[in-house]
Amino acid sequence: MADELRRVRTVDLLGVFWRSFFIQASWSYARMQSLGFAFALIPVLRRLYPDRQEFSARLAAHMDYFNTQPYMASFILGAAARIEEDRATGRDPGADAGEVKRSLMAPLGALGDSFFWGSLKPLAAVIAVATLFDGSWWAPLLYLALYNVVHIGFRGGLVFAGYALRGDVVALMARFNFAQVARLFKVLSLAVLGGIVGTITLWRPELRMPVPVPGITLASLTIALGLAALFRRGWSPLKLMMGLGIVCLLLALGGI
Amino acid sequence: MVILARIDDRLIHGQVVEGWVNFLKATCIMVADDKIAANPLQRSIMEISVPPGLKVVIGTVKEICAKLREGIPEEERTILLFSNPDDVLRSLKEGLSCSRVNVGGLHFVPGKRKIMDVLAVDETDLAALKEIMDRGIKVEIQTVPSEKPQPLDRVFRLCLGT
Amino acid sequence: MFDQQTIIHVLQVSLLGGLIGLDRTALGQFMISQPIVAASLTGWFLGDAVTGLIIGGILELIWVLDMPIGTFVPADSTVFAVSATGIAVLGAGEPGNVPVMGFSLLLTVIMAPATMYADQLMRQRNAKIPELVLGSTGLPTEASATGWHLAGLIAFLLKSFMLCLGLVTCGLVAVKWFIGLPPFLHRAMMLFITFLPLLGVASVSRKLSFTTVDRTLVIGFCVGAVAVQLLHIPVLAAILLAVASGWLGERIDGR
Repeated sequence: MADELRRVRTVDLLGVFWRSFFIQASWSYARMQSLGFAFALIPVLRRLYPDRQEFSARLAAHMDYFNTQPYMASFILGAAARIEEDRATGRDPGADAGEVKRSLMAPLGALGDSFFWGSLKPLAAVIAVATLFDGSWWAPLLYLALYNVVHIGFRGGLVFAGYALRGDVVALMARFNFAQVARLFKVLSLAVLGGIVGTITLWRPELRMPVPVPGITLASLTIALGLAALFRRGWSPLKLMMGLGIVCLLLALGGI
Repeated sequence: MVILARIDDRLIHGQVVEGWVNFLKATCIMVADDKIAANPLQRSIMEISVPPGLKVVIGTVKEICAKLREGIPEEERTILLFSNPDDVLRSLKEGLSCSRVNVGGLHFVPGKRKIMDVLAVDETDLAALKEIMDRGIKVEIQTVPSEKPQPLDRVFRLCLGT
Repeated sequence: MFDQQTIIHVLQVSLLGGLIGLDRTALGQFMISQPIVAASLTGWFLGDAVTGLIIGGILELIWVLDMPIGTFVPADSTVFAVSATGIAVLGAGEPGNVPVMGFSLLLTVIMAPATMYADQLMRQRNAKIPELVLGSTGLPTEASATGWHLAGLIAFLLKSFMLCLGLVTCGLVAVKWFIGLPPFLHRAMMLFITFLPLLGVASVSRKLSFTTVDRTLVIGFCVGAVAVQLLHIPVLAAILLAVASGWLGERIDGR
């Protein structure tokens, strides 16, 4: 009977989901998301450990060094909730969430960084920028909508998936292949980028479309590829912007 | 061909996959770590966390060194990962040859000494890093390609006065 | 130097920058802090949405893939976006002054190293927070963990606020000086704004693709250009076509 009381409930996991948005509030080099992780897990720990002393001890245990991609942290939070439940109910008194946290944070970081930061973000961005260059003021809203449907969906879904799968990443990957989808998003982003160069070419500041002529279109592609080659040689965006500024100054001096 | 040898206690993570792989056009990641090699679960997690098309080879330091001695084909652009400086030193003794080593991060744990935000070392690490440098190998701290590399000897001079 | 109205505006923009800056790391990551959203919001707030949209669109492409991976903290594109828009709108005194936009973009981006330094400094400070939570007993309570953790938010807010305040103030002084400069410099800034989107395209494509001349990008380019220039299809439809053909090319190659 006592065991039943100590079960993690849906409302606790929803609490973890809500708190996961704050996971990086005290990000520091020394422990990174450590305190944020403990903070997000509080609703679960509160349910499982009514005893204050025990609660504090478990909270302290979750303050170890921890860092991963902030959205993917949800999966590990869910897993930690499940493991703490097994521990508290006595099903597996020796269960240690620390081991799972340590082994999952780097691989999930790799997956999350390349899926969310490296693929979803640029895809949403290039779509929004294409819309903006076409003269639509609602482009920023489109960006937020596209991005956050996926982001918030995953943040919530991963808490529950982590709990259900007890941190089994292989099973998670069988349900959703992050790496494969990331690859697709990158290809789509590149196609949109090509489309941007091909259609809007030189941007009119007053947000009106120019009449593109083939010569200018080809010139913009050449310039874009040339700049990409400079990026590849290790030039930073800052340096390239300065360089471009100087070139523009010379062009203006030359009477263009 | 080994295009990068890196020390990073998180081994495969975002900085490697999103930062270095693309920048160096790498086709293969080799992880030389005794602990990971002995843990099948950890191995399989690592293998599925990289983009499709990228080869991952995981082995103990000895196994990886044997592979290196056999030679890696020129077109297999390989990033070599270690979790600590001591493993690099062991590999050097086992026949690894490289002209520079990249340090991505050794995070702080109590008992270690913090030298930079991303670098905390204990006596073993320190001795190993010094010996690597004594072998004429350039050691640089650089988390991602877009960051400016910092030569470790200069950092040591500034922080430790040696 | 500034009238009261301007001072109030500068403070408001900085506060907005501080609040939007929270989304960058500390709170949520809903991408409100991305330049395209942050700059548009700032422009809209100051009554010149178009300036915000232009600055935002430009900065978005250039900085979208400078990612906060692991311990690496990239330059703060949110601060650039908010300050550049603030400087351009408040400094120009008229909506849609393109040369001033170019100039304020240059000004804020020069400060990139300063934004990175401020971020690092604050994250070093934050290292003390877990110790404070543990307190003298070594055991955290719910209140101490929550309180100190959320105190981190204030630190992040103050950081962005101070950066924006400094940048916008200096920027407004510089813009006053810029407006009096000979017209060829204004033309140079006009050209600068025209070319920047191409720099953005280069920045994104370089990070997404292994090759400098990416096949999918070129397919998208050709389809888009032909659709708009020969077939006179609306731009957004042309881009959809470009995406479809890029995806098709990838599928065929995959077989």
